[in-house]
Amino acid sequence: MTPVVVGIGTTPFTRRTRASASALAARAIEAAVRDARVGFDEIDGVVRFDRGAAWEYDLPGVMRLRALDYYGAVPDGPGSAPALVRLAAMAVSLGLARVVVGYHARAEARPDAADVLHAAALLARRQQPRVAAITRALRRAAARNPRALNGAPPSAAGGCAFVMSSLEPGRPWRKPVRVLGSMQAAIPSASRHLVAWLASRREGVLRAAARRLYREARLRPADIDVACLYAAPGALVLPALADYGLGDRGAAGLPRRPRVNPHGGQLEASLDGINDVIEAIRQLRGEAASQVRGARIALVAGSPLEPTSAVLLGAPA
Amino acid sequence: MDDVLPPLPDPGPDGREFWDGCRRHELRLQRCASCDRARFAPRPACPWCGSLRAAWFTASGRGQVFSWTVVHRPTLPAFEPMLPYAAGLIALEEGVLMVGQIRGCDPHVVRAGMEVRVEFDDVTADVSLPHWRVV
Amino acid sequence: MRPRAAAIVGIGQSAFSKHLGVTEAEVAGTAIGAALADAGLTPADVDGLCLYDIESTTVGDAATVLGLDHLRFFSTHSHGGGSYCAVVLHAAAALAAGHASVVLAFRARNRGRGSSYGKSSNEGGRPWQKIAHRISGFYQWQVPFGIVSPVQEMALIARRHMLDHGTTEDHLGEVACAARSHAARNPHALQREPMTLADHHASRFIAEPLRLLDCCLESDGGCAIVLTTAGRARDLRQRPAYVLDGVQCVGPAHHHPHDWFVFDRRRWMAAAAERLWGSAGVRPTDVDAAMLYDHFTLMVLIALEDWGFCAPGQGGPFTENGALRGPGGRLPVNTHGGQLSEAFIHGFNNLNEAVRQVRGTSTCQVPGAELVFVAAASSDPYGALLLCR
Repeated sequence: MTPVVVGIGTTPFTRRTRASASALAARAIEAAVRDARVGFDEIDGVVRFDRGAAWEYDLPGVMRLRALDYYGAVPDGPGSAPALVRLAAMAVSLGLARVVVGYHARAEARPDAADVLHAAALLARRQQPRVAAITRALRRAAARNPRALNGAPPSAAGGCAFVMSSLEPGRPWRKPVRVLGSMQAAIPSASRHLVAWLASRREGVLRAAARRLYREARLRPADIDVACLYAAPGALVLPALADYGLGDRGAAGLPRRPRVNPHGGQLEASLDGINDVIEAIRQLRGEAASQVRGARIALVAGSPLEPTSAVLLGAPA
Repeated sequence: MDDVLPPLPDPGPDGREFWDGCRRHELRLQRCASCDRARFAPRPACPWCGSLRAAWFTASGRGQVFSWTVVHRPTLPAFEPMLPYAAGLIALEEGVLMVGQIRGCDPHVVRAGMEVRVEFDDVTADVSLPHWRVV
Repeated sequence: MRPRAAAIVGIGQSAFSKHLGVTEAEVAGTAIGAALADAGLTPADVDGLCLYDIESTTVGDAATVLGLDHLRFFSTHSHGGGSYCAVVLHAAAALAAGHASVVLAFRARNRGRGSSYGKSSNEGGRPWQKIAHRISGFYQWQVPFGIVSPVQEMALIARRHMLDHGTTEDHLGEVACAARSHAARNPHALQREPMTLADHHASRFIAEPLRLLDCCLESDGGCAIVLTTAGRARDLRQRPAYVLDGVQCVGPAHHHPHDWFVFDRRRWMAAAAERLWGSAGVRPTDVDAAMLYDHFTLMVLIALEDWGFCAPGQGGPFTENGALRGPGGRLPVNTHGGQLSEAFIHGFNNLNEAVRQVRGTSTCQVPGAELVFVAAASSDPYGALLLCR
């Protein structure tokens, strides 16, 4: 059963909120379910970030879901948004569930680990001019994005959800986005084990995982039209481009191809990259605010600073 | 003096109205605006029909003991002076169940079906906690 | 899921103790090392990891602290003892999807009274002793009123079970005594002294109607299992314990008392049971031994009802006449002593014992056991598994 994303939904992104993370998740899920044109009673699986504020058994209590047959989670953190897609796709492709909701919502900003910034700085040292150019480009992209709150700090409250199901005869999904491949890599956490994380950089662990991803999907970096790369801070775009073999090395700022973070990335909203997943899906459906013309293949990659994941998505056939 | 207080609610947005009501010595419950069912604990959506629309109302404060336990072992400092105490599930007239401490009789004589009424303790300047007194 | 496509090929554990005196990471390392050795595999062979989300050793730690640096699949599972079947099901799914070829799952838990390795809610001591002065989430609806810990929540459920179905103290006591009789044969169990019903009834009340001997142990220890595909399993050194089938389930009722009686949990439990037995093509009467999550004696009765071993409300009478007692009872339950008498590893030690029953190596071996049922806590988002030869 070919897994496809059949619906997406978000709440508005705001700097502060009075709502709980559960309420934001519920609203995002409701929007995604409406977008997918499925019934609530068809949902039989849920995937989420663990330790999150909204637990899946809150959901049947929070909204009218019937009992769920499948649920799982990914480590709570900015490496994991693509892994949500991977876990949902796995469930659908194996027939463990037929309609799986994946979601993530935050009601407040994640406290920044100083080591994260230190690690990002290490990654970007000796490339400060390019980092500055990338940061400016991301800000320009965010400024063009009607969903982004511009100015600092980026918004930290909101929810995103997607609905995963499979292509089945007789069920015409509107613009189903295909999951072409996915990967996970247990990179050490830079904030907990900086030395081990540096070693994993030197050993190219993430680079090898990226190659595995392309092999599984039978794609090459040159096939990527849009890349949504977790980049908080913006400097993280640089190692991501290298890890995933993307872009022209000589480029001054963001590469022209693929288009990187047309939504501004985490400057749109600081939501651990779940909004990057949504943007990639919008791009492939031709519904993005800053639409990349003819976008057929999208990469979404999580943070390189901790256990991470990436997914390759394809436009509706 | 913090030690003698029970842990107090940190009312998130979903439950704030309940705790504000307690301060006013009112038992406030949600009622779904779509299917009319009352619910507890406060939640963003109706667990029966899924509607995100709800209104709050003030409950009568009358109920019956649905289940109970007599707690013997210490758990938190605030509850130690009361040991053994009875706590239970109260079935409110409005059709919801709520956990509450049961007072007004020897904890060992509590039985299912006993009529109880809500009362409130003002434990701090901004938190009042409901409990249930046997009628 | 495809029956017998995945198998547990290695099990391991640390010592169980009231106080091990080492960190949870070290406990995990010991259990994992033992499981890999049991399977004849090494850390370099492991490319998948399924963890409880409350495990103090995180996925990120796995690559560094545990030396697992080839992971290409990992998932986490919430709800502690509610989800210990989920780790096996997700491992089997990852194998079936080709995301991994050897998956490790483990649980290391130092909660003995003497263990206090930190202030975080997951380190040492009892979680409810670490409740903040201000509580958010669902606990705000019970803790301020004096229902603080799981035993008190379960007591409310137990009381109703006695009122509605006539369940007695003897029924609860028999669950505890059966577990203890199994632990008596198990050199690793923490509580091995014989227990009679009179002993059980004489133990002090914790929260009526539940007594001390109705409650699981507090202990330090860790367990681990290794899974691989059936094809690979055949080449390894132990008799594989194949995953015949399994289900997960979550509905709106948690053990939080204000939910448990409000939602019709029997309906979705019945649906989950029907899914399991229907898909697996076996019946409860085919099961040779059952590992049920026994954080409280009452929950064993509830599990028997939930999964169709007896009619709803009839869990108590099911225990009569030694039904739960191995090796020869009608349905030996927790033949290692369970969480009640062996150790409380959030159910993971139940998995290890289930594998032993399939292998024929249990200290309370059910003769010719071929089909073993494992269920996660009925009080949490839950699931169940069937392991077989």
